[in-house]
Amino acid sequence: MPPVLEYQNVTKEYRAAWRRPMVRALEEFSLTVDRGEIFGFLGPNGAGKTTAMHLALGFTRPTRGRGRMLGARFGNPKTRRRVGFVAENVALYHRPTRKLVRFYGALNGLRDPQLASATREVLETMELSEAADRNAGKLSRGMLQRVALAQALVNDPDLLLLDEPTSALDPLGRVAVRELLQRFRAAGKTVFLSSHLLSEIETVCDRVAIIHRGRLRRLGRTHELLESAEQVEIVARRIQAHAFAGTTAVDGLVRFVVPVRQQRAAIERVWSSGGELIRVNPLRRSLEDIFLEIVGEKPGGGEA
Amino acid sequence: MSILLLGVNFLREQRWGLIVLVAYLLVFGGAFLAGGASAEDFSVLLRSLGSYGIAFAGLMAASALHNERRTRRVLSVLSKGITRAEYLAGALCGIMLALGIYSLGLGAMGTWGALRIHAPVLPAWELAGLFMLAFLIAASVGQFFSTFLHPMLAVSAAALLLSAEVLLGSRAEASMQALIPGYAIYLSLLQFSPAAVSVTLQTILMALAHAAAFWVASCIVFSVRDVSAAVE
Repeated sequence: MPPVLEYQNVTKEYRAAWRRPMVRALEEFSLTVDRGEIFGFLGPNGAGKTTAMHLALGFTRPTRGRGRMLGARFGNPKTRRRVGFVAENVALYHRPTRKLVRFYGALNGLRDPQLASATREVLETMELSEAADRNAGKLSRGMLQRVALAQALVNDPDLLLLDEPTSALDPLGRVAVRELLQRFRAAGKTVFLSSHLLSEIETVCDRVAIIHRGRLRRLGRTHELLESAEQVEIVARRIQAHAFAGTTAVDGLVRFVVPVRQQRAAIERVWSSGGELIRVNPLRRSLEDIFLEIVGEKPGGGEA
Repeated sequence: MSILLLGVNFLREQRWGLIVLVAYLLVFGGAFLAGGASAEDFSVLLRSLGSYGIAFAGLMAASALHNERRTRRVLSVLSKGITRAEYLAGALCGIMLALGIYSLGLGAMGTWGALRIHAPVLPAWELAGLFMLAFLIAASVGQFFSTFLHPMLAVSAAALLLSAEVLLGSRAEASMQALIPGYAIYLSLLQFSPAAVSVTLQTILMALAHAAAFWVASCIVFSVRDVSAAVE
């Protein structure tokens, strides 16, 4: 099955202009997103995440390289009918919410009665029914973000491109969006999600890519990335707490962390000292740890 | 269908400017005519009110794209299943809808004025139609320049180009003048009298071709423009 979204050695440069140097937003960027997955796209500000999404939608063109979305070259208008997009900075017309969602649905070729029912459903899904007749320009940021999601979902897309879709939502709203994305995936659809909320990505995404300065730095299944290949956590009992460096002892259980290459030796030491091994697990890290490690920042510090 | 949707949406976005312009037309024109005007005054009034519409068309067309990019609303529209050509056609359609309303006001004003000076009513509506052609030319040229220039430069460039057409037409042979739509329409407007409007089918077709050519040129330029970056 062909990938839903595919970047092939894409480079995007913004030309130098008077007093403005040339900016390379993406460099030899290659990535594939498969059908039916929620794909997390991470990177610090200016890493190239938004540029990558804009290239797929045809807002801008790659300087080099090429890509395909839903089997067609980037920017194909017919393909965009099967895509929902939420921009990082939500900017919509100041119209009543229901009319606004109808407008965007109609631009994607929906007509009544399907348009009316799709609009009603999506307003209910995004809990906007009560605000359906309120002017979108007078809604709070969080509500506006819901409207942006509603206009992206009204055409029942096969692919959702979401650029920071929950940044203005309250925790309840985030949970609702997370559940929505999971239902979307269960229906065999695909989500390409950019977010700075790493815990959200960690919870919901099947795969994660981390991009920094226009280059892909890490790509993999979320659980594999989170399980460190470098360190293991060992928990044992009936051993001296000071027998190993960096141990913590609680209720007779001694916990310590060793590099993977010393794992065997550490286990043998536990056994040889008469201890009982309780568990040995790869050390689980947070996505934030990995993210900070890749972008070269120490928590609370400057560049490493 | 998408073009009409975009056009109606654009009209809605421009409603306050249009309301002010139509209010000016009705209040100023009404006061002028109510005061008692000669046939010549009436003719000057209609042409001057129509020329405001030309300026309005040029300004609206030159700033439409810029405003959409500045507010980033262009992204939510172009992320849908429409082409950039449809998007530009939608904007042009919206401008023409707005100016269609203005022309209706102009025609109504002309009818009232014609009745007051006991002149035939039809020329006033023909003049309104002629102004619609002028609006279309001004809007298409303004839109073309706005695809690669700042609105102020775009409207200046459009004014220069249309002025150059008039200048060129005034120095061309009579047989060539009809082939320069800007000049042909200018001449028809200049020669307007409450008794008759002189406009040929050739002028109408040339004006439509002129607008179509600039719209196509706009589409070509806009199809390669980067809309992802915000403009100031």
